[in-house]
Order: sequence, then structure tokens, then C-alpha cells
Amino acid sequence: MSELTDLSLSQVNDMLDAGAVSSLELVEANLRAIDKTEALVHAYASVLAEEALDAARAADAAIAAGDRRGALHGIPIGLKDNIYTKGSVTESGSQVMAGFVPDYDATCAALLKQAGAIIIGKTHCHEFAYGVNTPPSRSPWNNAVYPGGSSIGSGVAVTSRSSFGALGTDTGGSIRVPASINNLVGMKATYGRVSIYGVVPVAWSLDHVGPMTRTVKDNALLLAGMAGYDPQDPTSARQPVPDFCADLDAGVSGLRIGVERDYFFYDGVIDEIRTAVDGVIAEYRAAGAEIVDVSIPELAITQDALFTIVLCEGSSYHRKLIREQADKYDPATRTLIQLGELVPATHYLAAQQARRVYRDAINRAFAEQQLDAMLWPTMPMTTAPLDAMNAPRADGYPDTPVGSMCHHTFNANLAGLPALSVPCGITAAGLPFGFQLTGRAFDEAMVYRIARAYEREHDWHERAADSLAGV
Amino acid sequence: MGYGRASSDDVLDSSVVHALAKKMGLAISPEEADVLTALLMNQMAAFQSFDRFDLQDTVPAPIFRAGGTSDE
Repeated sequence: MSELTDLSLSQVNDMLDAGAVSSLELVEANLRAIDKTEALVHAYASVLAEEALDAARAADAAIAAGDRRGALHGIPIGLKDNIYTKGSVTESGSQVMAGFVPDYDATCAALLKQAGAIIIGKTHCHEFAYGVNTPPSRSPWNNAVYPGGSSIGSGVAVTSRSSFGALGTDTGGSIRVPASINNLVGMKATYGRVSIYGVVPVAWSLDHVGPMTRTVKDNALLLAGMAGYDPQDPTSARQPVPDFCADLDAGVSGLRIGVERDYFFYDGVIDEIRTAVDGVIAEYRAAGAEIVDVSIPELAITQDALFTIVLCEGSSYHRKLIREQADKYDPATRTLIQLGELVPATHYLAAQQARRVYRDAINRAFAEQQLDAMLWPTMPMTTAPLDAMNAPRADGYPDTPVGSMCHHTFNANLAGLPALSVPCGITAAGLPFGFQLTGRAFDEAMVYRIARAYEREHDWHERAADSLAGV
Repeated sequence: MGYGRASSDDVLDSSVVHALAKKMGLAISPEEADVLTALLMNQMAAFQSFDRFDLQDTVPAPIFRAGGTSDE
């Protein structure tokens, strides 16, 4: 890959500020990277080359005139293909939406464009972000394994250096899981922090949009460019957006980090991840953080509660489409949507009761223990071969890879709390993994601060897949 | 071929699920009804799992409220 595409978003931001690179050079470098890597990884559903080149020329003219709008101005990023982009095909990974061209931008896309970011392309996702079919994207870390989803193309694009950052969506882990598998930083911010207006829904009460990047600072910059109250989104929060980078390097001395072990360090966590995340915890303790044991038995109902809610809310969105265009859905997606229609309303409401019980429990733990964040592995395992996702786990643990992958991520969607996956290791088999930090509502800045304290002592974020060396 | 007993505990005949789904306007084959029935049984088990905690007097979460922490 080129020297330019190996740089982080924040590094090219500094270079743009210094006049050391142009936006056009960045876009051209990304387009060359796309040309080189797409045959291997298939990250993009569509590449917006001409639009991106035009936007880059406009950005360079503005910057030359002294009107650089901010940290994202002139920098190419990718958008998951379930995010509406005015005038550009948005198919959400489904034949149901084949050829659909929105006549407006999703609020997150509009905000990023206003900030001067350049949309280089739309990235592949699972059909309607359900996560059950098999999109064409492949991992540069290992072409035979599942690259994580449903923000599968966003993860693959950023780790392949064909974009400096990308947006994903996360209803049960769809940003954090591909971030962990692709050695990236992935943020699901507080519910309401980022507008979901113009994003094809999976489940309205659980859906989030968020950034996937190579570094913590990149992530904070990208979140800042898309966060904020949106009157068009009834779930949007009237909360001020702070400078997420203000205390990024303030360290963790004196902070309190909670660790729950019964659920998050259960027997299904593979040894390499258990050891690595215990190492992360030890490093935080050594850096002056206080590690606090917490107990949250209510975690036991998070899997069933989330799945029930997804089934019912998702099927509600598809009620008309599934009757008019059933044959266009992938059979696996169609079955789940049909299933949701058969789940009684009492089940849905019981799931929302369970959600409150869990949400109250984790917030009580934060308050009573005066925690700044909680920490656990992003996933109990890494990933698995594409053809073994529904087979018994290879290590003998009685579950499937699909069943295990979101064990640690559903809870944050239920509680609406910010959750960030941070790279912290690569297995002997060459597969990356991360740890997850969950923070208090609307305290993404603290989550980033704690993450950065670990990141600056390691070089995981600088490592790229070996397969990219030859392209 | 479709139909048959989709769950190991033999409590739900998939032909009933097939008939109900069709009545609701869903396009579904007998074979898909078998799969759907098995998944529906899993969902019944999920529903029972909520009984691990006392939900009797719990008001459901405010599902579309930002932040997830405040009921105001």
C-alpha cells in the first residue's frame, strides 16, 4: 500500500492543515488502493470515484482560500450501504432495494458532507444489516474467515487501507464485532448521540450509527463530525457535543474501571483473548486506574431480550415489503422477518421489561461503584471459517461461532450506553481481536480517554494484514 | 416435503404455523414453515428465560428515549 493510505485519519488531517498533502492526492490514493484490494476483499458495494474527485477539488479550493472547515474536511471515508446518500445507489445489501437512489442524505451523511468529508464509496453490508446472509466481502487478514458484520464492508475497507475511516451501524454489535475482527477501533455511541434518520432500520430502539477507524483519535474526530441533536429523529438527544479529543491524553490515573467476570470471562472466552484482556486490565492498574470487581447477574437475560426486540421491531419495518417482494429477500433473512410476525406482543413487552431490569442494573453498578467505565473482551473468540459459522465451535465449547460472537455486545445496545472496541492482540493464527470499554451515557469522551491510554503504549493499530503487502 | 414435528419436545406442529403464516399474508413454503416453527420454539424458550428475574412490577423500558438512562 502507499505511504499515504497507511497514515491515520488524524495524521492526514494534520498534513492537510500544514499544506503537506491535498485532498485530491488523498482521494486518488484511496482510489488506487481500492483498485488494488477490491479483487481480494470486496469491501465496496459502489465506489463514488467521480463524485469523490469533484469533492476533493472543491475541498482543495476551499482550503487554499483559507476555509478549512475542520478535521474531516478533504478526507475520504466510506459509508455502510444502509445509510441514505442523496443521488447515490443505496441498497442495504438487498435485492429488495436494488437500484434505489435516495433523494436525501441520512443526517449522519449530511453532517459529514457539511464537515467536508468526502464519501469515497458505499460499503457492503448483510441484507438489511440482519447478519444472516453472506455478503461478498472478505478479510485481508484471512480470506477464508468471516470478516464480521453486519458492517462487513466498512471493517474490511478501513483495515485494507482503502478508506481512512468508515461508518457502520450497530444494533447488537455490528460495529464492534467487525472492528474487533479487523484490528480497528469501533464506537457505538450513546443511543441518541448520533441521528438514525435516513438509515435503514433493523430495530429502531436498538439501532446506532458510528465510526470505524484505525485509531482512537480518528474515531473521536469522526464521531464529532456526525454527532448532535436532529429534530428529524425522535430518538435524537438534546445533548451538547463535547470535544471528544480534549482529554484524550489525560491518562487513567485515579479513574475507576469496573470488571464483571461471571458473564464476560465465562468458559466460552478463548485463552488467548482471556490472557490478553487480563493483561490490558493489569496495564490499566499499573497506570494508576482502580480496577473494581462488579456483579451484574441481569446480564443473563440480555441475549434473549435483544433478540426478541430485534425480531419484533425488524418485522414491523418490513411488514409491507415482505408481503410484496418476499422472493427478493435472501431466504435466511426472510425467515427471521417472518418469525418476528409470529412473536406475541407479550413477548416483546416482556423483553422490554427485561431490558429495563438490565439497564437499571448496569446503571446502578456505575453509580454505586462510581465507575468511569467497564471493560471486557469485545468477543469471546476471534472469528471462524465462513463455512463453519453455524457449526459447533472448533475448540469444543458448546456453542456456534454465530452464537458466541455477539455474547459480549448485545448488552450495550439494550442499555443504550457507549461502547468502544479497541485492538489489543493478534492470535497465533493471525486473527486480530479487541477489548471493549463501556461508559456512562453521553460520556464517550471518557471512553476514548481510557482507550487512548492503552493504545499509546502499543502498536496494534499500526499493524496491517500481510496480504496487503504485495498489492 | 415440509411439515412434521419441528421441535424435539413435540409441542407445535409446523402445519399450524404454516397455515397461520399464510393467513397473515406471508409467502412461505411447508419446508420454510418447519424452520420457522423450530425458531418459534426457541423464541418460546427465550420468553421463559425472562422468568429468571421478577418482572411482575417492572414497567417496560422507555424504548425510543435517547440516552437509555433517564425516564424524564
